[in-house]
Amino acid sequence: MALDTYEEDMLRCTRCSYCKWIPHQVMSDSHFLTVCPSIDRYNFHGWSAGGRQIAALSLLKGRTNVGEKFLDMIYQCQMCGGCDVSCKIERDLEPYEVMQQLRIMCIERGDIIPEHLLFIDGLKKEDNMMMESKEKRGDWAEGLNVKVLTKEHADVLFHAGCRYSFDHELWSTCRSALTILLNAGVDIGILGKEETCCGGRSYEMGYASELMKYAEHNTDTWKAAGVKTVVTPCADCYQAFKVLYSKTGQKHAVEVLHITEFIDRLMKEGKIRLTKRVPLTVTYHDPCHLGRLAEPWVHWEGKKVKVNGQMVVHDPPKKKRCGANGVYEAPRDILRKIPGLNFVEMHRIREYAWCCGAGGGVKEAYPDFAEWTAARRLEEAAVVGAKALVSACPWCKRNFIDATPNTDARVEVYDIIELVEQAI
Amino acid sequence: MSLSKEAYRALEDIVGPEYVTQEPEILDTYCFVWANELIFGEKFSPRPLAVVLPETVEEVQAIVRACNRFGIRYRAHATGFETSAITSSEPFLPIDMRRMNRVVEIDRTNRFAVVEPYVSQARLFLETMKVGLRPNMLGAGPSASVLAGTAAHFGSGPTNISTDFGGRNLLGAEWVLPNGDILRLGSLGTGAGWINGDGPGPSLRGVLRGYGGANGGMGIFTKVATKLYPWYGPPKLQPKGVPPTYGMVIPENFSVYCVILPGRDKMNDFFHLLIEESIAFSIQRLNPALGAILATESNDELWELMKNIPEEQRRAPVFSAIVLLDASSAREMEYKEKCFQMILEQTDGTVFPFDDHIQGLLFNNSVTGQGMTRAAFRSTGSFIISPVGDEAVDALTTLTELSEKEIVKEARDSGQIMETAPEPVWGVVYGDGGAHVEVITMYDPADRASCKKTSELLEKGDKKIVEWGLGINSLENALSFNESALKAALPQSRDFVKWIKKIKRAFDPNNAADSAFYVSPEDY
Amino acid sequence: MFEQDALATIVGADNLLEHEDILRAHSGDFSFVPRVSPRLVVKARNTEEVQAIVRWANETRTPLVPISSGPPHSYGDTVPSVGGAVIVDLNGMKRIIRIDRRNRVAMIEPGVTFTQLIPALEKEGLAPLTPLVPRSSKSVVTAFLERTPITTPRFHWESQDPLLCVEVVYGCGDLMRTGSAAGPGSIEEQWEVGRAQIRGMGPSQVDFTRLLQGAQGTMGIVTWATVRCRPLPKLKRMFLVPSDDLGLLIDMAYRITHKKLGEELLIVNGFNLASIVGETREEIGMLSAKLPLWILLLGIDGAGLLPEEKIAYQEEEAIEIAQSCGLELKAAVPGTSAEEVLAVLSQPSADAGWKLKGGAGCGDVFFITTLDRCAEFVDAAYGLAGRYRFPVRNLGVYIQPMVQGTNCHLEFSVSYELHDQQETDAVKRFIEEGGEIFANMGAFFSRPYGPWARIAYGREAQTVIGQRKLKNIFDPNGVMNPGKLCF
Repeated sequence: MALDTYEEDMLRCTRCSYCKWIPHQVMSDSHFLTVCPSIDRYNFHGWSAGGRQIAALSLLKGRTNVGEKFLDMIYQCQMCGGCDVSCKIERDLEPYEVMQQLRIMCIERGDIIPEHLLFIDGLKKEDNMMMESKEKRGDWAEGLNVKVLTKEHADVLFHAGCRYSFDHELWSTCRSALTILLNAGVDIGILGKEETCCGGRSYEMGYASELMKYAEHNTDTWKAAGVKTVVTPCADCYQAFKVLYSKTGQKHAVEVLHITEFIDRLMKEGKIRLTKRVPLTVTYHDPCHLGRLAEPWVHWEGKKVKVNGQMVVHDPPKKKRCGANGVYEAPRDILRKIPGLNFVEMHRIREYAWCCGAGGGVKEAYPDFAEWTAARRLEEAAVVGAKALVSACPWCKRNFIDATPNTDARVEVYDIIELVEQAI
Repeated sequence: MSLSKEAYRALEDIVGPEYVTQEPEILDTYCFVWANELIFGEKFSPRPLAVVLPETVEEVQAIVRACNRFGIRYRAHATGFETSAITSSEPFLPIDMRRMNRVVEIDRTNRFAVVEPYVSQARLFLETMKVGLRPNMLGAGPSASVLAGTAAHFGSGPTNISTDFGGRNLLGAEWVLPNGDILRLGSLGTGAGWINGDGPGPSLRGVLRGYGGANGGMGIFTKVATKLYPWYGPPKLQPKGVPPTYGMVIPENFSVYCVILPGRDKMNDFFHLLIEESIAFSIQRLNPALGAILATESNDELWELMKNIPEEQRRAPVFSAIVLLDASSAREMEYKEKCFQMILEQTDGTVFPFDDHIQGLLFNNSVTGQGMTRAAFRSTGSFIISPVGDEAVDALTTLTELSEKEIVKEARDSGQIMETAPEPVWGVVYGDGGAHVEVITMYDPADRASCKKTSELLEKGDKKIVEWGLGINSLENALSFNESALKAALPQSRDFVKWIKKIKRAFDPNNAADSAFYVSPEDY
Repeated sequence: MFEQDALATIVGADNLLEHEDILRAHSGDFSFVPRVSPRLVVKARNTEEVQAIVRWANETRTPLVPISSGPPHSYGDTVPSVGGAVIVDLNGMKRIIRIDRRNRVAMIEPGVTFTQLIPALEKEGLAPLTPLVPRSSKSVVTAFLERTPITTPRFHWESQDPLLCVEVVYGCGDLMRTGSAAGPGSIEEQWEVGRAQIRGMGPSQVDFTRLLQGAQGTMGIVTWATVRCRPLPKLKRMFLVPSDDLGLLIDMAYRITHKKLGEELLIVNGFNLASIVGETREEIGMLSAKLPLWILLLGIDGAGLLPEEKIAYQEEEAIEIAQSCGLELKAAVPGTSAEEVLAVLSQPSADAGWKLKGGAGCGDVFFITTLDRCAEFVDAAYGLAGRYRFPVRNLGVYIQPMVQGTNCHLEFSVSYELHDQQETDAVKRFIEEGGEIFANMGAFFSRPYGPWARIAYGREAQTVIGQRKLKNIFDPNGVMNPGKLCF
């Protein structure tokens, strides 16, 4: 769906600014009411979903051109989707899609953020978003006794993702994840250096063709490997496999699971037992890509028609994606079952969680903004009394770690895998 | 009007380069708002000269002084939700107040709060619930600025039966006058704190705002004190369910009712009795169509529910109201429930039996105003209010009846606006007596024919309400752009507009505060 | 003389009063403002006459001082500040133009007194909102134009209440109707379509009523007003809550207003209650000795559909509140009963006012503060009594919660011997110097009569500048009550 197909949505934006806030019904603390890091950091209305609807319309109408400031306005945004949830409380609009299509249009026009281009060039060359050599992709798993599915067969593919594959500081977490599954008796393997990027992060930057490329490649690879299930510890990859591939129309018969879903299932089947005490007060940060953005894509073909005079409806009816059907319970179930662990919630959770700051190309192009966003989350964690903030995505963890020096909030940062490992 | 380099540098010096811009792509986000299409035939009004975001009253004062010095017209806005916040026929300088967002004080004992412009109703409600208090809630909903509804703009909302009109809650203001001087209203100016906004002597509060706010045409308010009211609910409300229609747990000693009245006269009696008995937390007259939008998650869901209802049934008049009762004790609740039942008996009212989920939605809407944005905007994309009335209950139901017959029916039959049951009205009653009604027209801003019909309807509303002798549309003035409704009411309005213009000239000698939604200094 | 002839043409010669006694009566009052004799008194009978008088004053540059209430006057606002003034006496404009039971509103001329209004409203099932035992000659319109507090804070949403719309002849001679009375259509046409002049805000984006309130007649002359009324209760209960500890009563008042209980709610000290219920100075003295130090008065109306039930539940709630404050609701206290207090509060004072019984003089200092600060001010007032050497026992204290409990009117009244120069001087100092001291403590003189104008206006130059702009608009020739406030 090209940007201009959303023109009516832009015209129907009323500048109500609900997109700047978490839904009013769930507000619980006056210090944590906003959902959009972009407007909170940059203040001008253009740095909000509502502002970007206007910017998109302005561009379509030829009122403005894409310049440096325009690109900042469009790209100083994590594409976290919080705005979309809040908007849809009140309206039948698709602000997130407008922002996505606006980015795609920019790329198609050649209006590019130079910092992103470095990563995209790297992706095109090395199949990863870390500007690393693809030859080193499987190094993280060195020494683990695990099948490599280009040579062997397993029911389950463990997809590490770019961040885990190349961020040495996070390798141990990734290795733990795989080890936990291996120890639980899962017939699992990896692709090693043949693993490639999911394409999700490049898509969020507006490089739609990269997503198509990796969607085709990955689903073909899964088919060739004969796997039934793909499990990933990376929320970005999870969302790409589950939602974006579906959105692009890429069909596959493979079950896609996030590591938290898989561990939760194995715990329920008695294959993983958490027995050791982890005496820590923790809070859980919902990664956007595991939460609201992971809500299954709604396929709909039809047209918008007017009934009742001017009421706009879909024919046939279309289910509204509101972010409630992401993965929220599995990680919480796991945390609640860790002996000795005291689990507290933050004020902005689930579909209205505050973003870690790393998504949408922000970490790559505007690292200061990424860390600023993460610092606000760490402060929220501290306010609710957590000694540690737990996430379920390496991008979140990396960004939280990077942001720690920027805040007085003294909160440790964990991936949920690390706590599971401690508890086994 | 243009902004010289020197003037821009002056603004930069005041707020720092990060908080002022002239980039056209950013400026375009400050000339786009709902209903623009009815005024300009497109979504964009003239592009502003620049946008500036001050953080302190000193910065605001310096900006206003710079505007006076350089001949720049300015207007401040808080959330920028309303047409009257950012639209003008000429380029001007919008002052975006979002960085002034502090809850300065909550005086639990004396029941008032002092807030800066960007403090929302939702935020203040959250803060005050903790101490057993609540603010007035505008129909614009929880994201609306408390300061705007109290000092700068119109202020009716669902809780008006227990909190009265927004502007009646003003206890004090820090006010940067149109020329840049700072006036501290009432007791604040004499050093007695934020306790009273009137006096000494004749009250300048009357210049600050009237029934409608000055909508930016009379300077900038950087802090206001607003009266708070008792809140008998828990320190925090308990949401339930999932988006888009989160429910709400109805706390102890609250009851919400959707009441169907058998006719207009009975509905009038119903409102009169509720005013006199003083038992309600909120009262709203609500057309069933608005209620149905509020209670559904999407237009698709709504249409699935509606499409099988026979047309004659959909078009049948319904007089309905949403009433929320509250009490500080079981004893009080028992009395209020009994009293309410008697009112129902006397007016032949029946309670529509909604399930718990819908009751929760109605409760939330009654307490916070949440959902009115959904009700008004979702179905077609936009809405307009015309005519609008504010006076005695009986007069206003006459207004809605006449509006239906002489304005709305024809527009509805044309198919160019949302089809609803007759009299598409949202209305409230005031604790002090009287009522407020808004005839709601939902139109599609992406559809030229729909916009055209709505513009006609708006114009007709301006004229008809005067012809009926039931008011002047400008009384709300949210949509009386460039005095259109006042001009439509000539000579009825000439007498009082003359005085407002004199006041404008006296307090804003350079005509620096943009008056697109106030009055221009020029006489008719 | 020529100018007076013109006036006589307007109102008729019989309505021009020049007798020395009359002029003397208008040249001073119970306040300590300098005595200035007016040139004459003109009695206006209707709006047209008022408008013609004001136009005449503009042509002749004659100062006008409007008066609506009958004597005695106490605050100096009706005493000319300059020579050559003409008193515009509106006392004869006594029409109760309309009583609208359904909308609980009355439209009245400025000469209508509470004495006149109460029975008229009663016939329609309504009662007025009243100040504390107004004197029988008190103009209802003036009371509310001057923001005199009412005893029923529940009905006092904000400072403007219960005044709604007015018809005014501005100082420049132009006529205007404020609030929803502004239009469209004549008042009669408005009634015809069901309008009731009940929205006092506006019209449009200026609150014109508010510009006239507290103005002491400096902006124009109001020729009618609509005022909010309350339903006439079918039953009524009054409770007295005595205490030696003002703090406890303040606490109770907060809780009562938080629960929105009752109608009348005020606190007085024993001397004031004695002055209200006693007949003679001797009786007041005796009662004052007997009565508790402080008394909270709580009246509950049994109005509406369930009068008994309403009183019953509210009484139970009030009892619980009292108990939680360590207090008790009583039907009687030593010296008086709730029934007696209720009877007195229900009617205007039959004489010159409850503070002036038996020929005493009375000096008042009143201002706005919050309930929680009253005790500080009371302590200060007693301190001042010592400093200025007037009898503490004659110091009345009246605390009136306003704006539904958000703030309060605090009034100190000192009864004194009119012919005792020492007492008189002491009271004068209390009013003038005391006012300054209270203001320094944070008292807000929202109604700055006499010497308080300097105190109030000296603290915020922008208020003075703003009000002078208004004055210049509505009374460009400065004919309306010059010398008052900051004009």
